Amino acid sequence: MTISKKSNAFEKIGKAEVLSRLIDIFGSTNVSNKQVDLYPYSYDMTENEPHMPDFVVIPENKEQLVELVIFCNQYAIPIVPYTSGNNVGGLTIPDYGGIIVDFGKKMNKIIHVNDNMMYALIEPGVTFGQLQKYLEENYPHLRYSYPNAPPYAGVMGNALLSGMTNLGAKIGSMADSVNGLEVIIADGDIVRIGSCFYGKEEADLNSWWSRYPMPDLLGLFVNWQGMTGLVTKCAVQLWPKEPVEKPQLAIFFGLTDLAPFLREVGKIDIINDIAAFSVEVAKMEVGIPEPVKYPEEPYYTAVIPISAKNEEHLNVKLNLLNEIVEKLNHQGTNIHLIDYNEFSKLYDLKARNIYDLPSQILSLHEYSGLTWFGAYAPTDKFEELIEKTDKIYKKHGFPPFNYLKIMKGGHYGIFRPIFRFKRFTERERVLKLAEEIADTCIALGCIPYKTPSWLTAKLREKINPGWIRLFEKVKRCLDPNNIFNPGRWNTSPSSNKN
Amino acid sequence: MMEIQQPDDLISISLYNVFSQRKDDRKFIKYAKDWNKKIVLHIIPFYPVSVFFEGNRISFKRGEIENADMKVTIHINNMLDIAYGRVNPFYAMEEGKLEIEGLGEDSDKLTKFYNIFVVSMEQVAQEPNLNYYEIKKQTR
Amino acid sequence: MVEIDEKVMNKEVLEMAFDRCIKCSTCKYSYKNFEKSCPSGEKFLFESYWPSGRIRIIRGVLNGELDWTDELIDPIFACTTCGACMDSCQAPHADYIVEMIEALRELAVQHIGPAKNQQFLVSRCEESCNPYGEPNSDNEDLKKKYNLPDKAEWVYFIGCTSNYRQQSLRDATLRFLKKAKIDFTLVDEHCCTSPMIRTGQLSIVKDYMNYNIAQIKNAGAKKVITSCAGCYKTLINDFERFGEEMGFEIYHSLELVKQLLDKKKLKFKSGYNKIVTYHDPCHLGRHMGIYELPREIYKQIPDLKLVEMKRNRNFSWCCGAGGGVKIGYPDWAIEISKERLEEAKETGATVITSTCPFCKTNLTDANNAYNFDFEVLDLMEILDKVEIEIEV
Repeated sequence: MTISKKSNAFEKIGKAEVLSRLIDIFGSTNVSNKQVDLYPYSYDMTENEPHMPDFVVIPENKEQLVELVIFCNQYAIPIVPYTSGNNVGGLTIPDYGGIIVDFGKKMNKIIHVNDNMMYALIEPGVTFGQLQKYLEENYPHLRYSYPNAPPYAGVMGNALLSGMTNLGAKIGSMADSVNGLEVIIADGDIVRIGSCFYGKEEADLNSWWSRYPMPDLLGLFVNWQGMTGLVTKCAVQLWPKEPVEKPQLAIFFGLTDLAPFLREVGKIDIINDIAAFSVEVAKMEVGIPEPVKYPEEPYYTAVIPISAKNEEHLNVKLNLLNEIVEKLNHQGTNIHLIDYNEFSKLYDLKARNIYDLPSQILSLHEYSGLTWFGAYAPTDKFEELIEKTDKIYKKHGFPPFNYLKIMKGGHYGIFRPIFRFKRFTERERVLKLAEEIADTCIALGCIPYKTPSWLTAKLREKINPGWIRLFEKVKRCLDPNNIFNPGRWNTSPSSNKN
Repeated sequence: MMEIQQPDDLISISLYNVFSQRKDDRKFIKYAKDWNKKIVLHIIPFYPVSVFFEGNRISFKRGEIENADMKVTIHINNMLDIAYGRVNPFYAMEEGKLEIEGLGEDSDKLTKFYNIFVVSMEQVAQEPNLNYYEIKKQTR
Repeated sequence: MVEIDEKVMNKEVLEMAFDRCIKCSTCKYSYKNFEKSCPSGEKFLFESYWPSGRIRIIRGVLNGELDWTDELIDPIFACTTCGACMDSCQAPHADYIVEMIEALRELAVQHIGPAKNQQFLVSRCEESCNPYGEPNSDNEDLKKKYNLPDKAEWVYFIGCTSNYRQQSLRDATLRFLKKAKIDFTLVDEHCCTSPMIRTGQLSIVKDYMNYNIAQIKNAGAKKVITSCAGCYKTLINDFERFGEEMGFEIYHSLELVKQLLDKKKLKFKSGYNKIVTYHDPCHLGRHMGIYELPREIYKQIPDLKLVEMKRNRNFSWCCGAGGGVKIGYPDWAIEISKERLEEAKETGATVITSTCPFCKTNLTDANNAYNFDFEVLDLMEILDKVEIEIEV
């Protein structure tokens, strides 16, 4: 189960020598090749096949990583970055073995916060819980944007993989909130990208305020799943915390009522975010072990964080929201708005976890696996996506755990069917479900994010050849020996030779 | 202590949550225990739920049973107004925002309904914490 | 799903390890404050040293993907079983994580043995009924000294740490019980078996449990009182888990103190004019849910100013002694305590107090090794320093 795929690693150099070199670089207490230490890194919560790494290292600074990268490039040894392994895409599973670089344990400092230009400069191991706590204690008027993820998930990983968070309706993908990066590329060069690019030595901590307007090299590291370099610093935008908030809960009694609501609400620019999920998810969040939807119950609920500068501003927003609901209900939907805070106290405060960190990852009960087809979606296909996936879930005997969002003022949406399963006994069954849902959603134009290899193989069949060629050229250029997380997007060690 | 059946539909889950927080409350037990009544609660726009008080047990069933002792109909937003103290429940009855059928001559029914349902919701609503993790675990 | 030997004591919790953890890492932080909460993870860093990593190891060894080699010893045994992970984890298996680790240790002992020196816990017991290897005391001398009967309503179960390492705590408790005119006696104790259970060495556990139960029964007692958090948890929780019916009520000494205070039978005639911070013992706090009782007692002692450490109650940082770590990893044990003392120092306290003799031992060792200048005292010792009057 955990035998790695074949790679060139260790053909040119023996493992004992590699171990010795790693100890020279990182120190003996920060390096391990023991099976017991490697084993927990070999798999994650998803359906993706486990693979053992050959080593795990815990870096303390970028100088160590420069040495590592130069060494690994020389001998074509894979490097896989890791913070907490919470990505739902198998992205930290070392498909071709090699070295796991565990940033989460020591390279986890919040280096600087610029209050005026509102950004935080962080190391790769900084987590959401850590950042939230730091801001609450030191910059209570500023906030970051948080996903429905455990507090130990990594901020930088989420941003560089286009995660979506609770300011999604305003700011869209978290990748859009990255101001700059410091990256180590395959030849050991340290590159600073963004407005921090001035200066031959370390950048001024107050210079990380914009991604633009120079030629955008940042895109070479966004959504590349660690395939193009090792990111050692990241500047992420912060946002003013609006003092007045009154989140709403919308309930949808028609199967596809959610779709027009998302489109309308997205465009009117009054909400921070909308997290819509099928009612089965709402029940699972409060610990119902096998949630089902009864005929009279709504199909979907949506949590809508709304905040404002003052009460007047808030009331305007709420009135506009109510007007949208009225308008849609006149057109035949059955949507209702309820004060979220008030309702959740009476319903069950656990349901409010998706609003507040720490977030209880979906109450899995007797399940040990979680995966999804998480995709960026065209909003005009929401109805079809909901209807078709509803049937597929039923066909495969899984509860329909769907999650939808509208992003960046209505420019695009998120469609995320979620599957929980028992890793040891249901992997094949969930793969079948995931495949059919993936095929259906891709056919409707969805583009999955944090994509595991089995899914990128499907995408490659659809993507225009020019894109594939350019993608592979860039990968070969930046990583000629395919040391950076090989296997992602089906870039096997041999594929770089084409 | 009142025993409360664990349900799995949305409205019953809410009622379970509200009642559970008072299941050891002497006042709650005084009103709920041995009431032996079937109450239908219809929170619009949701569906009606039948609530059964039998001895020291409370249970739920989706839908409206035929021989209910009492039927209560209220819109969710009006219910929240009452729970959060913005509207007096008796005023809501007068205004037609809270409809109760089956009271008859039995003033005890209204008293019990008020103390079991309304007071419970009010108490839950008064809990200042909104974060589930802020609520104290059972410690001593 | 693999077959697990029926003879393995905690087979059910091992089975749980297969389908109950997705490695979300919530166990790594205390969930509310995002403070450090796992001593072994923070020290050794690799995923195998965190709770979710240990659950993974269970799968690995049972699946045959991990071989039983000595490499497994440290990840399995370098854990104080403090239970911080159980408090942080929000998944349904949260309450069982420490049991899973103990069950893993039970397996490990069968295949590769416990951590270094932990085997002495058993061999010393086999020689002298206590893990310290001290000549066994049948407590007859103490009975004579305190003029105790052979049979009584209560048995004061002293516990090995109090009896052989923290005698001032033992004696303070004895004096208190006498002052309170409790009808109690002492018995010839064997170790409560907590050290053996925590380290997976179960060979003598049932015999010792039976022995202790018989001793208490012979004394005619219906109630057992102890001033050791470890014995308290073991007598209440583990005896039941191991299928041994106690048939007695078990109390921690602080429960008796609190009862007397609540009934206004305990009055303070003098004060304790010091700044005191309370360290929550894991076995009393997270494992048994007792946080407020001791605090309510301290607050009633005149002139005592109780201050809280940053990580308190269920968020407390472990003292570092438990889970076999004190004997298996002695240097690390006091390193963990050092962190606790640094936290105590921030409060301005001059006294660090607890309600567990093992916490007291390890905190004292760290206090001395790292030149802190705290007074490290148990609650019973503080009460012993204060003039009290107990109305019978």
